[in-house]
Amino acid sequence: MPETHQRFLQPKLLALLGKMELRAATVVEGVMAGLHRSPYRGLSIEFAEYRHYQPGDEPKRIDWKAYARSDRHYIKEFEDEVNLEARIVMDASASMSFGSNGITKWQYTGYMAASLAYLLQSQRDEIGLVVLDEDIRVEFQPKHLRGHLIRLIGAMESVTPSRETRLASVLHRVAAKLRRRGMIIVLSDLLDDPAEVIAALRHLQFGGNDVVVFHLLDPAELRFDFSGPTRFIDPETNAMVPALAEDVKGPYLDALGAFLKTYREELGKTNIAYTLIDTSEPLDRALLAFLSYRMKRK
Amino acid sequence: MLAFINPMYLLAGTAVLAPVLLHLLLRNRPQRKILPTMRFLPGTSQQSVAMHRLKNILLLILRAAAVLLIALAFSRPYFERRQIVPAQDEAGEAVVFAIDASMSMRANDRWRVAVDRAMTLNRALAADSRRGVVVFDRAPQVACGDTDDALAVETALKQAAPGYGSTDLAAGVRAAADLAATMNAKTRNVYVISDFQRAGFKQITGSIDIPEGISLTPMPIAEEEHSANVAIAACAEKPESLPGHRLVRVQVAAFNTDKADGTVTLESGNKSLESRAIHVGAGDRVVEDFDLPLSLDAQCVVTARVDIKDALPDDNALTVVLPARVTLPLLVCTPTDVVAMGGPEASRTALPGANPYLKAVVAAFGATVRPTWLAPAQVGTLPAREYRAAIANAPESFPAKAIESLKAFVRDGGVLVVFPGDGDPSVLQDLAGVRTDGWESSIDRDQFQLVTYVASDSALTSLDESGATVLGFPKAFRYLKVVEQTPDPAGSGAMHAIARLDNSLPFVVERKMGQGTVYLFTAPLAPKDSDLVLRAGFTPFLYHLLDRGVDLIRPKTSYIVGDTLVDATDGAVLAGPDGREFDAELLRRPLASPGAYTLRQAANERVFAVRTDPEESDLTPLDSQRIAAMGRTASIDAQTLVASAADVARNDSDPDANQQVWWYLMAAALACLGAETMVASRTSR
Repeated sequence: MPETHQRFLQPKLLALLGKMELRAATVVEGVMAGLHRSPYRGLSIEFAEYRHYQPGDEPKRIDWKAYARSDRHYIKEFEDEVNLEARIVMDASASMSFGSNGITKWQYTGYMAASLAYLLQSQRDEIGLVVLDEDIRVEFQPKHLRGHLIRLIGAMESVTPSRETRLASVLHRVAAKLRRRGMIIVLSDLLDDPAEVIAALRHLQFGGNDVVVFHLLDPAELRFDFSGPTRFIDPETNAMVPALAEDVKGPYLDALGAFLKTYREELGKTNIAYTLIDTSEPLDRALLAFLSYRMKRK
Repeated sequence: MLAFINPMYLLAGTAVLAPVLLHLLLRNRPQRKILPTMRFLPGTSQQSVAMHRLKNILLLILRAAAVLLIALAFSRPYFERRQIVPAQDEAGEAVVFAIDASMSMRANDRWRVAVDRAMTLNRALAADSRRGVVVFDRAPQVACGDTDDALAVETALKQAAPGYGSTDLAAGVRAAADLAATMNAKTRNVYVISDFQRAGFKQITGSIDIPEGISLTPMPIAEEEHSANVAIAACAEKPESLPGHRLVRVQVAAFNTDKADGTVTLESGNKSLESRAIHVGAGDRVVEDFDLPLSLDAQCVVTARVDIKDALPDDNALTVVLPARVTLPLLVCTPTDVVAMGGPEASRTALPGANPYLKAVVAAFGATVRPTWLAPAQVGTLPAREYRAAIANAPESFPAKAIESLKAFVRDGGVLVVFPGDGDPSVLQDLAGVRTDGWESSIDRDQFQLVTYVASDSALTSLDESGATVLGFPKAFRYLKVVEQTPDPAGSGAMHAIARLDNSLPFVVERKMGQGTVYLFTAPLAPKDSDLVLRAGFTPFLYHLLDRGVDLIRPKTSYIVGDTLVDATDGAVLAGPDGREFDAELLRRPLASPGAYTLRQAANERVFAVRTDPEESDLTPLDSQRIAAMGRTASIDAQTLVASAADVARNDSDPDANQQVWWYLMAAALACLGAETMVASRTSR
């Protein structure tokens, strides 16, 4: 495997993920068998559970062997394991190129996306990729083919964050293209109008998709560990604001807290999984925290 | 105009560059930081930057101001009274500069400051002003008479120099005022430029009377900090000297000197006799006794030297002449049944009935005296002129003729020591001019009176300046109460108590009578009345008194700078300490330099020593109030004078006033530092 792929996949992280199971919270349609629960329960081949017979159940579904053993009527239920269609949406706006602790938000996003893609592929799920900034720059439809993962990772590497964000409008366009239900994993710093972004995320969720949002922020953005007179520069607009860091820290953190609270509360109301990621935290910890959260939802 | 006592400290003001450089080097230059979440910055951030910049500039100003103020405070600024300098358009002013040129003005750079100040004033005078210069130490001298030539005054000031003399401020002021009085001008001012050391005021008891219409302006130039000084205060031979063992006591005085270590060396003939390490502290008087291997029968010139660096090194050496021993002819008059008369051999025979303690004391004198014992009735039968000292024991029982003989003896220049007996005390009043008020006695010997000290104003203190140790603190059980308010008899000097009891009554009184001196002990010479005779110090003390008679027959060997030789005859040649010989005219002038001199006249040659006035060594200035009060009663201009003097004292060189300026500057510096701390803490928050 090429070195760049190793860098993205991080063997330590993959070793950890190999012991976990990623299960979609929502039952999706699939054409390939997998670990995901099928919505067509009762017609598949894998036993799920017994339940008492209820009036209205078809008599042919009664397990007569169980009746012979227990003298009670049980219905034997099965569930079908189908493949998940997952799309990873990566924000490649210029703000993602910022990093204060040796790793940029874009690099961190790449690690996360590659890890998720690898995991999903190992479960024989179909993986797609959308890289966007002010437009859709890269798009791969979900597939489960050998070599697809490598192409996705190559596409991630080919992108350099440099443009402005129009996250909400581009997400609307992504939502409009969806034809099948699946999982949409959004990796972004969400630095756009929160109301518009939330509306776009709900649009993604509209077709019954399971939307997962990773909100990535740098520790410098979260804690504002600056001091002295500083000229702050916006990487997207190149606007400059001089400020005395000590004096503006309090108001800044208040405004940022309100921004994060808006996402947390509004997305929580819409059943969209939202996780704030500090890019100074270990990648595996952030990813496993999310997976644990998803397993609880199951 | 602002002037500085320590202008060198102004250089420390360059330290203001330190905070400026630190500010420039360490200032927080704005960092450029990329921040995608910049949208969350408050809109007032630019204002905070401007405020931060202002605070930094304020901090820099406060720090620089603190440094400058501290440097300024240490330079001790003061405001010169420009208003005392006549304006250019005020014609008709007469000014006399009276400049102190005593030895104390040699300390530090006092003389330069004094001359600079006089020159500054001289240049500021109107062109038609009359001016003059009087330079004074112990004796005033007109260095530049009445003139309107500013250049002549400057020349006189440049040519003047401080000497080694003592200070007579009153004489200098009077001479300057006299010169000013001769000037034809509307107003007359005398500027007294001096260090105003306390010693210069000792002879001024009240005010200095100066002619009417002359204002007096004291201009102190002494340093605000009292200059540290060490001096050889005394060097004298002790009476306990024995042949081959001349005992010399050296006293080192420290004025305003912190702890210092040094060496005292005794030299004779450019040869070091002995050196001894000493340690002095502030106000100390270190006494060192030296046992020198010098002959008692030969005159010796000895120089005591201390090697501690100080403000005034001119008094760190003292040359004295130790005279050869002179046998003192002594008359001893005491009541006795059997008296042996005659010369030395007869006088040493037993005297049954004479006071045994007196006999013991006289015997203890040994070869230093040649006693002649006389019965009271026989006093006067011997030619008193051949004797210079006498002891009269219990003169109350003496016949009147004997009393008259003793009085004549004293008037002619003799030294008479009197011990009272049990008779009529009125005889003592007749003989010594001392009235008494009966006996004071204590039966209980635990109630004795202690002789506590020797009066400092006595001439005896110059014999041994260690004071109270002379008598060794004897006790008195019965003594005459001396009435100190006794009117001074005609032809006599004032009465001095040179030793007192601890109830402050006199124990030994001194009275000048004619050319001689009477010393009266108030306790009889017996152990039942006082333990004086049992004290080891009594014999040398008594000899000190009698030795003044020896001085009368011994040529004078010690002078103070400024003294004039009285016994130099025409044709005499005087060689100074540096070997230079003075001509006949200079012989009549005051002795100007300390050291050993040799006077050759006829076939005789004698050596004497000239020393600096010990009072001059103490550089401590007078307090400002006394300076201001100098001319308080001086003529019609007294009101102006006092105000002027007070202003000068307060503004020019009064240490208190300077201290105030100093403190104001320091307080301002502290305020700056406090404000800096506050602003800095707010900035850091």
